[in-house]
Amino acid sequence: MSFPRPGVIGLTVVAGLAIAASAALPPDGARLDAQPPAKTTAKAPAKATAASKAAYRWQLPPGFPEPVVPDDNPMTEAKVALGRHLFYDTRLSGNGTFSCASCHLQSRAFADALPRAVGSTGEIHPRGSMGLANIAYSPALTWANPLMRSLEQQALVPMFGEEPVELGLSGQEQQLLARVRGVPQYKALFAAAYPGSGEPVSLDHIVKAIASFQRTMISGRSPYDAFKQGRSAAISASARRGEELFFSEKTECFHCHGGFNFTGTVNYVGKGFVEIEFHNTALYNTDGQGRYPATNTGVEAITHEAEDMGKFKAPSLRNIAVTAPYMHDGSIATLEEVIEHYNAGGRTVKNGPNAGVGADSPLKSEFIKPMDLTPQEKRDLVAFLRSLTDSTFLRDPRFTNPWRTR
Amino acid sequence: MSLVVMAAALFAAAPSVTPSADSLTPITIRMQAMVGNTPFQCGKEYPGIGTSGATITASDFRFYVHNVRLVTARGDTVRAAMAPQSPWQDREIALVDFENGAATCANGTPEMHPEFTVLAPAGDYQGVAFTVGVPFARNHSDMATQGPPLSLSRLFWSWNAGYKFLRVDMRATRPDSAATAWVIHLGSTGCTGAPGAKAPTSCTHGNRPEIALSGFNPTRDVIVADLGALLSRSDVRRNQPQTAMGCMAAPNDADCGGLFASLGLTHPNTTGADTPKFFRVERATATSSSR
Repeated sequence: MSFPRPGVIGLTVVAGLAIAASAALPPDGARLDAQPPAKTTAKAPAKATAASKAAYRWQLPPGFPEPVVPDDNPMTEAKVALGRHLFYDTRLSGNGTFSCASCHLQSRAFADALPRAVGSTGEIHPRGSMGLANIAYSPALTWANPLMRSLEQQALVPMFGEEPVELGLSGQEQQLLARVRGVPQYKALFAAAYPGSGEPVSLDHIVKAIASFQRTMISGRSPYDAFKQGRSAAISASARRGEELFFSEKTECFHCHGGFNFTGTVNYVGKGFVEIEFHNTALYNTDGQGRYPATNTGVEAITHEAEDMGKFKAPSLRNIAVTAPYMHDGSIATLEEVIEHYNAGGRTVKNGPNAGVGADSPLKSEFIKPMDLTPQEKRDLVAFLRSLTDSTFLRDPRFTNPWRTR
Repeated sequence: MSLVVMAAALFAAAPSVTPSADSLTPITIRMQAMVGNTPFQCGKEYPGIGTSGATITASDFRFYVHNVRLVTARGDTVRAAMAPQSPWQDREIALVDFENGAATCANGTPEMHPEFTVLAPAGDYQGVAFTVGVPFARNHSDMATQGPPLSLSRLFWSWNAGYKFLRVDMRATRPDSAATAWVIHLGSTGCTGAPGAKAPTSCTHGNRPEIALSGFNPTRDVIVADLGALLSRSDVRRNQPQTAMGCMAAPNDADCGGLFASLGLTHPNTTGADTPKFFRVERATATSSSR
């Protein structure tokens, strides 16, 4: 068992308290050792209906809190099984070529390897596919949309969105339902997931099943997790130095990428406060006033508020080594270059339409500042980030394509 | 109670009697889609559109209506409830649908609904007012669980967590190149919600056009929705670089300015004269054969 050092925040495991750990995991910026002791009493069922059914068994990694699940979409094994089939089904695209998994690859922690995603009709998305690992803990979804609050709601964007076209189902909801009803395997899957329903195949049931499957994509068994659980040899000396740097005032990384999921946008059962954060990380400054390229202005595109220019969600850093290229627009190819960007306190784009000195942006987060890292420190930070790769998650048979095994 | 007449002015001089639902009569407000003086049809080419005289072909033309009021010959305003008529209308909202799911409109629905029907006391009405769009309280609901007319994915603006109040998609031919897409997606923008809220709690730009038409007698007249007038201040051959093709209601998209003017909405780039407007009143006989 390792104990948090001063200035070190992160995942600290309270052995045997996996379920109650939600009370023990502090929000960003708080010292774990300043928290009240974790409650060990068993929680009462949230709802009477929950008590009447067999409770869903999360197989949570040590120290992980329980995800928040919408009241109207409780977790069941049957819904998860159905959602897994739907997630991997190309019938969920207008032209039958794409499924959710086309842009969310398990081997890439359910992101992909493209700078920017390409939809079923070949249209290029302004932003890259986001990884789905631990998405159950995210109270705001996608890169920069404070209106996207649930996986059920968000699923409608790739399915029906037209700017850009992703799965390309706009106006085809009846055809989609007909296609799904025509698949023999789905009869039993829908019936099991939605027993007692007169018409189990509905849009509502499809998105709820996909969301249930997504909530099971939990990743917390990286070498770093093993290290935090006491196996000090699980990560290299370089990664251990990188961890200290990551959680230090010298780099300030942890302000936006803190907590057990290495992101400030997080929620879980018992957390008490929903935290949703968006930050301008000084990637662009095209006008000296902090402007970002017009096709990717971040939260500003939704709220039209000037101060939201260039604000994006800090993604979880778990499995970050397998989700290159980086940033919302895939404009940085490697982790080493990401470190260089932050080390400089912002990126300078030398020429072209996006030219500008990010470091001079008046809108950049107060935590983006020159770091003066040595070459060794940069290598240590990268080593730490690489220790967050959970290779069991990347090949967990619970998340593979179920159609291939038939 | 949702069906009652609410305009206090109407009953100011009368005993305070609330008419029962029985005393309300369905009144159909007929609408006609036109492009200038030519009836609208999916797939048809219309020349001479907008400031550049472009030729357009439309692939969608639908909008939502709510908050209907009728104006009596005396000048009193009578609030009229929507008459539930699945799938086109519920008690509050109606979908007006001019596309037939054919030709360029293949992503639409074969069914059409160039009208809406309200419940109001029988009377001699000489004017109508309504709001284009979906009311705030229902605009941000979960589309996957909504019944008609809010169940159409083509009209759900998923990334903005609301509905497209007015949708007109088109292509405009250009003298120098292939036809280019130009679309009108009008809905609420600048929406924000509290961290714990499932849906937005406010929007800085509601973008719900308030329409008031005088000289409209429901038994005699039809409301014309004129694409030519809507686009009269716009150059549909051009798109402001780095913005949505056409206008997706963004306040920083100059392509919206002319459209907003013809809808009576404010926009930083509002240009051109106050008229023509998107909606006008015509005698039904003049256009009744043109559906």
